[in-house]
Amino acid sequence: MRTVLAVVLGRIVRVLTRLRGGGSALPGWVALRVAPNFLSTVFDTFASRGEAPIIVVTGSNGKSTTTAMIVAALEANGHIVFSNPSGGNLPQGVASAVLASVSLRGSLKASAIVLELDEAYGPKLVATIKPTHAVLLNIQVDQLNRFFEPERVIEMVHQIGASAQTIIVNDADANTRAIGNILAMQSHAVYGFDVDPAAAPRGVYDAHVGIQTRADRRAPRALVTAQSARVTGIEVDGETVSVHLPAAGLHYALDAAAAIATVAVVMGSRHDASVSARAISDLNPVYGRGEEVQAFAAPLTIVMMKNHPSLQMNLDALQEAPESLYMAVDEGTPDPSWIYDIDVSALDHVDVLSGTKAWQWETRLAYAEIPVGLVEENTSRAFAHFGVATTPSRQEFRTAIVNYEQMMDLRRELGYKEIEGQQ
Amino acid sequence: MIRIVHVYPEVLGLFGDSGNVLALRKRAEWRGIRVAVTEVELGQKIPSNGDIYLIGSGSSSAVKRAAEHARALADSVGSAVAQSAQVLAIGGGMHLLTRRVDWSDGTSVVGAGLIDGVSVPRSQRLVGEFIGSTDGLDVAGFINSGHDVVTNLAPHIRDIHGLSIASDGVVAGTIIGTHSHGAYLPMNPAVADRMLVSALGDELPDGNEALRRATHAANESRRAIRQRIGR
Repeated sequence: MRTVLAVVLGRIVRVLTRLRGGGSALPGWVALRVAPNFLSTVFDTFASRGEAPIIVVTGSNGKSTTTAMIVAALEANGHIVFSNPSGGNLPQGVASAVLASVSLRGSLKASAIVLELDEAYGPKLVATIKPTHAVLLNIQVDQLNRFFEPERVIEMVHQIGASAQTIIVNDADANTRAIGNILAMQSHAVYGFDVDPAAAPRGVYDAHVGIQTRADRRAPRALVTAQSARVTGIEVDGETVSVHLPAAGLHYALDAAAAIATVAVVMGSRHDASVSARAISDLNPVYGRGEEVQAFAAPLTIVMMKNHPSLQMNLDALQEAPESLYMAVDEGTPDPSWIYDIDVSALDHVDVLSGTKAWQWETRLAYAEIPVGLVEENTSRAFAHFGVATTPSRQEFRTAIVNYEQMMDLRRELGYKEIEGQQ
Repeated sequence: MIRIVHVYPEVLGLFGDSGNVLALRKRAEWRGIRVAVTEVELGQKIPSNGDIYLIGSGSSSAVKRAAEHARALADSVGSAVAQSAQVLAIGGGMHLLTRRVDWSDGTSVVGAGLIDGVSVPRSQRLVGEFIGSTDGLDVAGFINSGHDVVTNLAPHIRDIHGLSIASDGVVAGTIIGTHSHGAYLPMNPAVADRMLVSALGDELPDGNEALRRATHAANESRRAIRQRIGR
């Protein structure tokens, strides 16, 4: 009965918030207040129907992209998939997503569930979700103001992995590889995805902390054999498929390998790798991750700087220095000390630097002797100036490198109404 | 010529501590002073003829790994300090130089003992931006630390605002320790310049436009932090 009430009230709030064009977590929050067991009821009902996979995706980087890829590949291979939208990876976000596709009695209309899980909330959420498969992407030095030490993230990802019988791990990452080895000894079924070292000359920037075993990699279920800009070759089940990535970079190639490995494991002999490859190639970039938007009547590519590894891989993937470049960082990145670990030599100048942390980036770039046209903390003024001051000669060469919060602000300012985490 | 020794950068460098090496090197080179940087990896012999030793921050597992080499650190860096070399140690790197590091599970590791103090877990983790002063210089940065040093030595930074502490770090002769990153020296060039003066034993020559740009940017970074803290 409480479930029915939770669904009805949650749906009403959902309609109201959508009319206002507002936030996305509120309907889920309301449903969880009305029926604290709302999520476990829904997931238990789903699990009781039999063999359908419940897949969770976690790690420091690539959760949203990989989740989108797994969903696309499963759907192309005939599944009906329930998933949480990009960024909605906290309990309220998951509940909000459930409200959109659940029946009054709590039954999800899907043959597979794919959920992106936040590292910190994941260990608690898996008790409710009871995943059958866990995809462990990577453990990088990330958000230390929130996680304090990478070791804690290793522990959280380990717990999420341990909650599923079947694990798909990144064997190119020393820590997820080690977690995979531990779980394999505890009789979990563990599969790896990996990158041929020749295709990753600079490595994958995994965190140099933690367990650090030199344990062997598994025979990969999916292997990145080559990666160049937005095209990657992935070897899976004896064939090599070519995937067009949503944006350039080795990290996206690994996300695609993770997705293909996962769908291959889930579907077994029913999996058609070329169908998966095509579905992933057809994907648009997830918000702000290499996404192209329109600004000043020309395309603007948004590149996100989440942390050291993601920014470095985005910079490594640049074919040449951006011709017109805007950068902005605000308090969403409380401690940008890691910018000193970034090799910024892929940039030859920055046109406009903005956000409350602009001067810290200006300090970094000053020490690298990279010219900056204007430092303006006020982002509206800075971005307007960027539009006036730059006239890219080739369309694709207006670029914005921004942190997550600035990416959201920028999209809003440019009139992109949908908000991440909203159905 | 100033010789900089960067100690264990592959394990101790969690918070962009390579920025401290960069700031010292660039601020010397922009003034026409030659600099040689030696990176020493775990297990390698640490040269004792350096002018400035930089030891970065690390997570607890990194400090435990580095502590296996505490004796080597004590010998080499200790003899350099005896010849008045300077040391800047950040966070876990500073803890490593104390006599002992205690962990919250009751275990502990022996440190290099170059700082007369003991590193203990804080009752509450300290995370955030701060401003303060050291010997009349305004400094600012970011602290993210679960440990503190219990010592009778003078602190490196006093008059702290923005965090629940009044002072931070230690000064043990020519050894400076602090929990501040940001990174510390790029954002606080006056501290970097003072270290260069001591290493050179002379006043610093005037620098070029690049030096002025970096100093201005650092000053503005500290101004922004001061405004956020509301001082």
